[in-house]
Amino acid sequence: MSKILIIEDDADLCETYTDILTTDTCQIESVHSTVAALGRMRRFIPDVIILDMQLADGSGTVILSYLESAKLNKRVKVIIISGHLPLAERMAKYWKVDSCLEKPVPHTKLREVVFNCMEKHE
Amino acid sequence: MNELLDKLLRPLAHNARSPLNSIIGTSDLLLEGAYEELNARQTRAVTRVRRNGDKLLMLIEDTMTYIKAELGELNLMKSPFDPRSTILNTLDVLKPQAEKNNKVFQLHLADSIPPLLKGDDPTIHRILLAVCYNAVLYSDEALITIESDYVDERWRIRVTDCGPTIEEPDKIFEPFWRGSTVVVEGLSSGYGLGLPLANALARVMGGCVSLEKYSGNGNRFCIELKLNG
Repeated sequence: MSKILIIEDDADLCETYTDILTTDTCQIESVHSTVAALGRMRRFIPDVIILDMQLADGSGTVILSYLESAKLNKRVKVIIISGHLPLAERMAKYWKVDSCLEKPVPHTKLREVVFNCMEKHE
Repeated sequence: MNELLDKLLRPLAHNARSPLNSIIGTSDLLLEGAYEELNARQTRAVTRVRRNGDKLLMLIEDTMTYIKAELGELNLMKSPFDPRSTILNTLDVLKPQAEKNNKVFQLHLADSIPPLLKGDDPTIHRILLAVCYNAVLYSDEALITIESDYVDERWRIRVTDCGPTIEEPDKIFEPFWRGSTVVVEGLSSGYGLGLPLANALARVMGGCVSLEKYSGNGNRFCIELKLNG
């Protein structure tokens, strides 16, 4: 079963992503802050992370930096979804992130990108 | 002004995208039947929510594009494109709405138009769409004339409608200004950003959109773009 971690400070949007991506073959968890995300990843190593770059308690770069230091950056696929595309694209390039999308992401596009990442992971 | 823009308007435009993502995403899931099949009345209601999500997104995007154009922050492409196709594609997009309201486009393309010009085709399409949609929206009678030529490295497209004469011509390029003219039944009148945005984008290309003096019945807009072949 594939594991998806949604890191997004808008709780409604977390729920929307979860509803869009729910299938029998993946387990989805969501958190709303960098602190909660780092805590969750102690017991839940996802295959795919959906990452908002502007979280209430800090930048999404905290998560990208953690993945690199924990040597998880090759194992975990990251999809940045941001309201500020130019900034997010710069970050994605710097951190060699798999995909970068601008909000609002069409639901079909989100499924396509996430499921592609999951296939690559398998 | 710039401080207000950076501290308020730009963050607002970025932050509004999260709730819009929920509105549009959840509407799409409902329409897809992801929760349960909707009946016809529920489908109409959710379609309304979805459509208005798109309208809000367009309002935000158009406002930010207008601001960026005015501040010289827009980077436009300079790729070869076929100007005739750009006009024809624009009219194709508008055809269903025009036909539904018994409007007919009459097209005159001069031989002076080069087969290829260099510019930002999607942006030019956007300018044309705004001006032509305006003609469909306000034209009382059936005929909308589009004439185009190319003179002294300037591509000109004149769009003439049969609508009531614009009473305050100096205001139509002000953002969010809306006149008192009644629009064609069944069409959305927009927010008063179409023509100002078209003009701002044309200015980035060294041209403009203007309302020309016209002796006939209606209004004539001229799009002028400085483009090389």
